[in-house]
Amino acid sequence: MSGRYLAGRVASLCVTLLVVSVITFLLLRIIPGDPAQLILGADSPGDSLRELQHELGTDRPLPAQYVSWMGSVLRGELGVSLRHKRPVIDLIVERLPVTLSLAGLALLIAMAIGLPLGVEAARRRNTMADYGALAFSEIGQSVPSFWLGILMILAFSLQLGWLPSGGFIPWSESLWQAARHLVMPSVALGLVLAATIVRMERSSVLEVLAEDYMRTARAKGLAERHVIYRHALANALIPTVTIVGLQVGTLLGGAIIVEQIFSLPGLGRLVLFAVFNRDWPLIQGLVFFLATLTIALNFLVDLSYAWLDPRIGRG
Amino acid sequence: MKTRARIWLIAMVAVAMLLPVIAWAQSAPAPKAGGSLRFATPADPDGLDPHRSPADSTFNITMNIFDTLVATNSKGEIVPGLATKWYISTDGLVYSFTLRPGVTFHNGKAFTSADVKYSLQRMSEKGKSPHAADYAILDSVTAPDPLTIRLALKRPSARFLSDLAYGWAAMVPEGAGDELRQKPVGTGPFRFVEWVPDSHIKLAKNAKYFVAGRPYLDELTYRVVPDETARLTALKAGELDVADRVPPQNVADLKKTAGLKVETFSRNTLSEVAINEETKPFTDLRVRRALFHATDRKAVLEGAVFGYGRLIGSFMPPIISEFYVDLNGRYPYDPAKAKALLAEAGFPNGFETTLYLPQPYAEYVKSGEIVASQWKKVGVNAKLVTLEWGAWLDRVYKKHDYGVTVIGHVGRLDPVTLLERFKSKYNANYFGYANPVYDKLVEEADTSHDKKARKEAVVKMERLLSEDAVCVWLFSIDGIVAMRQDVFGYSELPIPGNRLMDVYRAGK
Repeated sequence: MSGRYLAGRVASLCVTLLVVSVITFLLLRIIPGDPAQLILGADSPGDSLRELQHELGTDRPLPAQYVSWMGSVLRGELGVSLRHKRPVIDLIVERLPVTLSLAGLALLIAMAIGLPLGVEAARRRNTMADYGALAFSEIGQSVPSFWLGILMILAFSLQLGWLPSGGFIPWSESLWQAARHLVMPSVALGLVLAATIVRMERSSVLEVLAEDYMRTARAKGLAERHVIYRHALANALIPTVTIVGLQVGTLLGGAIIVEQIFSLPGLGRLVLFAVFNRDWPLIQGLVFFLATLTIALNFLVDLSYAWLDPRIGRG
Repeated sequence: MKTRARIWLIAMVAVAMLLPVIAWAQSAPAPKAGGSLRFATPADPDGLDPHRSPADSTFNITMNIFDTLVATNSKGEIVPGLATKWYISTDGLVYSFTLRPGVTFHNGKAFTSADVKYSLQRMSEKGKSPHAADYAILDSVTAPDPLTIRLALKRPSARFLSDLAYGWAAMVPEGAGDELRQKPVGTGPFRFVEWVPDSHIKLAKNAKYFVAGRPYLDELTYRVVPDETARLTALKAGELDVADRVPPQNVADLKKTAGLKVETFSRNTLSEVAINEETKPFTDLRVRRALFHATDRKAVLEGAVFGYGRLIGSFMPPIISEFYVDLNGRYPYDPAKAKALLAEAGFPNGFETTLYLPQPYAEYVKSGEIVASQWKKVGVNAKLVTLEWGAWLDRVYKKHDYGVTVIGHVGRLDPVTLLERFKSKYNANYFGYANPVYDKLVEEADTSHDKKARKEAVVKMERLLSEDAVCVWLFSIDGIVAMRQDVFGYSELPIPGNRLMDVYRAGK
């Protein structure tokens, strides 16, 4: 990995973020809805709107608003929330552990289910096992996570009483309780991704199985397990990793709904609060943060190609 | 025959013997101190500073942490709070309050007139306090001694006392700044313990509270559960003790659930089909009256909220009993009459319009769907457009860019605070109603301290709002609260927010 390559990536990251921030900023001002009016609601005495707009600074010219927000971004605050009156970064940091735990566990569950199922489906192509895996994939992709979440709550919380229906306990307080609170939301979120992985993994393993080097490996007398999990899986992983990388955004999007259903105090809830209350700086800060996160993860995915397939890094 | 008579006799005796048992089962057991309560709240507050927040989600919590100079009871009467008595000068311009001695804040500091002065000044800061406009009438605040506070008004105001009873008129310690938002310190029945954002807020009993024996509970936790289904599921699963704002369609199911009970409360709310008098064809009184006659309000009440509420004939909820007059008979459901009125106004075949509905309020969206189907029968075709709340506020409330909408408002303690909404050229008057006679009545009722004259003016206003068919008045929706069967003493106040110091657990 050359220094020039890295510098190029960082420069393109900055440009992307700048464009994202301008678009977000402008879109928010176009969408109907006035943060000051939302604070006052429909039951406040009549004359306070202009004063409140002035206090919030939403009556200033757009360039002035953008520049002052950008200043706050450069100070590392990502803006100051109109409703919470606190730096956006503080609000994010409070909630990030919840969303990261949720998304991380969902990803683990998705891979733990998706990878073996995909490989086995490819190995036993056109058998009942294969059809079963495909059916799982079909159903998994078409069942919305919120619905699955509600079904699980009904079954495991209400009927069986095994798991809490919602809420979050920090890992630092109790590992066991934290896990208990995260199991259902992670499964609800991860299953869709697992279904996608099964499909992707099955077709790429099938492709690899037809390659010459697979025949060579078998001809060398290697055990079938070794052939599949060492040679086939390693080569079939690259397209899967790409998909997973691209799905990170979907995962964060899905987290918004899942956090709502399971009352998890994560970033998704903050996003909804910000949007419904037109907390402009908060939305801008959140989008900026999530865009940075997504771009950074995609960068890591690119790096992982080189690790998975040494030929890529050499170019 | 004889045996049948005997069976009847036995049955009656059995019922008679059971009666006291039934009565006993229904009356609440004796209050008991101790225990904890988990209360469901749909939204995390944006702060716990009562002078800086506009939201009910804040007052539901802060009204347990803070007190006000005067308070209100469930009937909407003004009762002593941190002030034990008060005196209003005959010209209605000076209010003198005697403060309760020996009250301390949760941080140990004594409560004095200096705190009152500071709080009043903080409540009236323009731009910072969402309710500053309510206190703009204050001319000066003086504290002659630590337990006396004197407020001078710029002009007489009959509502002023009630303006001191709301959650946003909380008394905070002198010098408390922005830290109140995160760590509120008051004199109230519960003290603040912790707030985990979007998760829960925990309060604990203030053992030194000035009302002897209150609060009953040792611990009070508000758990944030945004999703309606999740809230009710958590209640059924035993993870919560009380959930308010229960949707009416869930009542039957909750009542069947072992260990739960459901109670209903009259609320200080008003729902209506608001009409924009500034747009055609609604400028014509006959058209507005026709819409009223075309609306089967009873069917809307049944269909939208399962009958949990009371019909209103003007902009006054029945809970404000002192001023409420029943005007429900003015426009009976009568499609033929509606058609005749429309024909008279030049619309023999009806007209097309758009009915805007606010998406977060299921009760208004459902009401709108029913109303639109009823109007069809008289030729009025209302296209339904559902708007997200911010968009509704922007289009309907701020820009008055609408014809008809279904919406509700929260009432206030003083009738004028409610009725002044219809003053000409007033921001909150998104109905575009303009009537000089009405304006004079608002002025009269607002400044007069003569009870009789005030009531007369208020009733006249109610009648005008009915006569002029300013809106199709719908109903005052009841509050439905589900709780564990061992929770007692829960009641509600006719103002935003609630206090739980009288709540106790009979079990555990």
